[in-house]
This record gives sequence, C-alpha cells and structure tokens, in this order.
Amino acid sequence: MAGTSFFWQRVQAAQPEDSLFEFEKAADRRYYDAQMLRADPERWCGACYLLGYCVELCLKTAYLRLVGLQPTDPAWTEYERITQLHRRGVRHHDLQELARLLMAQRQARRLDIDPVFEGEISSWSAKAALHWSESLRYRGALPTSSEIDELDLAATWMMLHRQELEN
Amino acid sequence: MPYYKREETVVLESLVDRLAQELQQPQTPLPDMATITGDQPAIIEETSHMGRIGVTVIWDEWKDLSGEKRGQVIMKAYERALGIEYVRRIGLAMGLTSAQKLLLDDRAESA
Repeated sequence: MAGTSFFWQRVQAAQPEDSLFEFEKAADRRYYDAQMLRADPERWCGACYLLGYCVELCLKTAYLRLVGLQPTDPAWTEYERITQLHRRGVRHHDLQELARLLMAQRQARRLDIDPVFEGEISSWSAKAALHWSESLRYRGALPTSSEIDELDLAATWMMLHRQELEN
Repeated sequence: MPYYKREETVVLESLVDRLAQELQQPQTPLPDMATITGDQPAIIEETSHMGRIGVTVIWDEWKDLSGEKRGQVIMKAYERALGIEYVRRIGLAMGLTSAQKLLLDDRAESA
C-alpha cells in the first residue's frame, strides 16, 4: 500500500544515523521505562535489562563527549572509529571495560582528577556488571529485590552524575 | 521537633586512624592467592591510568558507609600516613567489603 511503512523503516527514514544527542535521550527514556517496569515484580527482568542498558549508555555517551563528539555527530560511526570496537561486538557491552575506557580518557585530560569520584565510577560500574549482561534481553528469570535495587542504584547514580562523568 | 547530632565524623576519624596505621606497615607484593578476610583493612595498590596509583581497600568495618565516604576515608588516611605528595599520585580510591570483592572476583573469573 502506498504511503505506509513499518515502524523501524519510519525510524530509519527519520534518523538514518544515531546521533550522540539521541544516545543521551535514549538513556533518559530507558531509565524511565525501567522505572515503569519496576512497579510490577513480574516485569523485573525487563527492568534489569533496561537499567543495565542505561548504565551502558551513560558510560558510552560520557566517553564520546570527552573525546570531542558534538550532539549531532554520528555516535556509532565515531564510536567504532575511535575505539576500534564494532557496534555489533560484545565488548562494547562490557560495563567495566566501558568504565575503564572512560576513566582512562578522564585521567588523560585532567590533572585535578578526584580519586574518590573515579572510585565511584569504578565501583558502580562493577556493581551493575554483577547483575547485568546484554544477553539478559533473551532471558526471563526474575532477580531478587536486592539485586534489582543494586542495579537501580547504579543506574540512578550514573544518571545523576552524567554531567560530571563527561567533564 | 527531634534534635539529632550526627556522630559520623567520629566514626570516620577512627577508620582514618586505623587505615593510616596500616599504611605505615612495609608494603609487600600481593600473592596470587591472597586470603582477604575483611576483618582488617587489605590495601591493594596498582598502577592505574596515566601512571597514577589505583587504591582498593577491602575492609568489612565500613560495610555501612557509602562508597563515597569510603573513598574519603582512604584519601584522608593516605594523606595522614604518606603525605600530600603521595596523595597527588592517586587516581582512584575505592573501598569494598570482602563480600563485594569476592563477588567481583567471581564475576571476573566467569567472564
């Protein structure tokens, strides 16, 4: 039928390349989606997936800002070029690896680094990594309340400190 | 209206003192199979980004403190024991409990 298309086709037509700005908006969207799912314990697996994904986005966007990307720059193309990690590769979902990339970049650019804040980045990323893998999207097991709490705290910490992460 | 006084500073000071004492012991290489129980502070230094020192302290005494407070205790203890010049070389200060350390090690092994 003329004039109709599928959802993903429309998205791609409107946004052929994901910009850094869209990555940052995605962190907001996924965080709030996760909070909606948290309201129902039966949906906690989905909530965990989104909370961990939010941590991934916060680390990734902070890194991209630090290496000089502008909001309208194509995020994936630049990310692949700079890190040599393919967008379909698994390593760029590794939260601790992303935290290390980010901290190396932060420390290379600043002399007045706050070791306590760096410790917080490291420990919250590590805590999130305990409960999260990108493969969670294929799974259905339910986390305990303390597990989802810890992941939620990690995502919330990242969301609250986004500006400091990229400075 | 309740009238409270937060006693945290006193607690932090005693932790700073204890950790500073430990930092005055001679440093030894970390064995491959080090047993860390958490009942006394285990301080692990490693070379971090840009040649800075990454400090991880495993200690159960601070299980009720936030990560940020633990980091502040570490920095104060280093300043007290080793001086401000040493502190300037630190790039990361992280405090864990023995249970947290165990979880992180298990995950690293399974990754």
